[in-house]
Amino acid sequence: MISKPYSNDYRLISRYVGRILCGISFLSVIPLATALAFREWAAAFDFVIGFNACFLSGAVFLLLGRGAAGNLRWLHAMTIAAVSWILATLLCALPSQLSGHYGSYLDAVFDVMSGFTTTGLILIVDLDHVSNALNMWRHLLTYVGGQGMIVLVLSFLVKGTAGAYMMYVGEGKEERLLPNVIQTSRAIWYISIAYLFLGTAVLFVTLTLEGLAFPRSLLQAVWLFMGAWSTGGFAPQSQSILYYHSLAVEIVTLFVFVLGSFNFILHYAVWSGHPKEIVRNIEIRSFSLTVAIAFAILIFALIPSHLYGDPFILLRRAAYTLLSAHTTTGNMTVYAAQIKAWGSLAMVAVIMAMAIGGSACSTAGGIKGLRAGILARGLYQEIKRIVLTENSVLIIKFHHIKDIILTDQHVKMAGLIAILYLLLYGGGGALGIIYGYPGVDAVFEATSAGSNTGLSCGITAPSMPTGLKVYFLFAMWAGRLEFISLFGLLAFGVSALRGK
Amino acid sequence: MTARVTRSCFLALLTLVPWSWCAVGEATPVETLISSGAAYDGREVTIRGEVIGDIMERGEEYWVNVLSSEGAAIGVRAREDQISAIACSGDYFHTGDLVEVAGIYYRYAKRFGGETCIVADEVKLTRPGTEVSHPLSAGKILISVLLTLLSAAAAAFMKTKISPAAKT
Repeated sequence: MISKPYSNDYRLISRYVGRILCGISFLSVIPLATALAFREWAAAFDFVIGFNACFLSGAVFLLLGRGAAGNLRWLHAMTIAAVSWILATLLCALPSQLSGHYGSYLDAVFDVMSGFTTTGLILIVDLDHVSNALNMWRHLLTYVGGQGMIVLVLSFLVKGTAGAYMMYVGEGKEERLLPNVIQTSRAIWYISIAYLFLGTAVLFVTLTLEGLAFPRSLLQAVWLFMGAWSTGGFAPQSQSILYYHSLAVEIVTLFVFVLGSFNFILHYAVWSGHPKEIVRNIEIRSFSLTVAIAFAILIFALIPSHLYGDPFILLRRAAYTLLSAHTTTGNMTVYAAQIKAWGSLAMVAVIMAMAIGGSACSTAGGIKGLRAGILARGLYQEIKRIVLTENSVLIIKFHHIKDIILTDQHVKMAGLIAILYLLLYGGGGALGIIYGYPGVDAVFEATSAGSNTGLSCGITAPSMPTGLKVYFLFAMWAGRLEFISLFGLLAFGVSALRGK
Repeated sequence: MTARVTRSCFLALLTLVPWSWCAVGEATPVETLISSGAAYDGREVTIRGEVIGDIMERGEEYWVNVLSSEGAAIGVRAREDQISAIACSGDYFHTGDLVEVAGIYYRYAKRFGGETCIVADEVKLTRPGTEVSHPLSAGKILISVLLTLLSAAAAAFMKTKISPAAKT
């Protein structure tokens, strides 16, 4: 029998949603300060309104959650994660919409969801004329989204640990760097902030050498870092990385987003004096192998086309796009329309890379290298089981920080999540075909949305059908939260409606 | 008589030709250059658009990004003397100089690592850039003040009534 939630359940959820919204509201202070520093007065008021709307909404939820007692359960935590992401997106879209750079509120919500989920697909109009404050906002959201908004709140606003781990899992992260989940959240932020300073400094020098003047060189360095590290793919100009016409910028951003796509636990292990983990880790091995396979297919598809006419140029464009796809970043060094000129086979190679994505417990999306590695090990185990005699004891291990014995449960869970991702990609592809887009284009764009990549072959535009916008919104959200919170929210809804 | 009829028919047919396709000096949309680049690769083209963002010095030449009215931007490689007239780039506070660029279009320029770009022969300033004002909206100011007051009241209320109970 399903039990109906009591009023205390609603109050508990309200309290935590309220805390998260109040915490997120303070993010507006950074673009507000940017607006004031650059005398963008009209933009400043957009962020004053945005801050207050988010803070007051949080206050209302806190008020509704007054008097809540007891600890969080899994269902609460999943519902909190799912609802917080939706509400924070709706509220953070306010300053974007007020900027006048969006055709509709739905488009603003789409871009904010794209930012929070580190997708990078955009519907913004006239990006080349937006305020510094709005650009700061876009990139800040993707930077926070990469680490996770709940991770942010856990790091700085939640005092107790009760239920913290469950909310952390609800946001699509499972592994801990440290025994305590709040210490883990803080460590994730410390790692990201350390890289923010380092990466921004390198990009600032690079952009200055490439001819950008201060302060634009500094602002663009911060934004490019935030977009690349979070594997978000946002860029301050409409041409993405093409705007800079620079090999150096390509190399630095590539390095940053590959780092960003690695597991935070791996970063922590390396920082703690275990550099060999890079070579032994299943995710890095899986990532290297799938990159090599997809890259071979891509090159095989591109060579006969003679598009580039020079092997170095071919390798440069193909490698950047493929790594941008595989790390689910979405930075582009070719125009969206030019990806279609690559042909179907090349697009399939990029789709494959996007579908698998980066590492678990990282800023990246997609099925994840860990699951791909586990599934590959599971397949190896089954083949070996057939070959060996019945009396043989078969133990297969994989290395992820420590040696772990592969169990059926590992394979089952990895397979289940992989199937859900494939359904998400396929559903979007089917919808795109129904709307009249060519099959490969539709699957490309849907996979990009569902895996939180952000590469586009030209479908995502303000003029695209509303139904597709809504599906992509859902795909970005479900893909980022790895379905767990989605099912938690559904289960809570069912228990509220049908429980006794 | 027959010759006159033939000439009249010929002139009538000429009126049906879409002259915009072949008019001398007609600008090619940047969108077309990007999506159908093969047809223009290595050929002389003319584009019109707004100079946006940074003008980036690279050795003795510069990169200028030009945004067309359809919203597509492309890089233009030019010498200093060709862009000396450019004084204003488009950003939040400015509509950049409107220029007409004539030059060779490269779908994937080998010289620049495969960039899709135009190597300029001539950059003509067609309209100087202007400042863009962003007037403050009285409605936004009023809403901002009201919401800030409400937030302050809510914060004070939470501090006294909600926070102690919420510390679990």
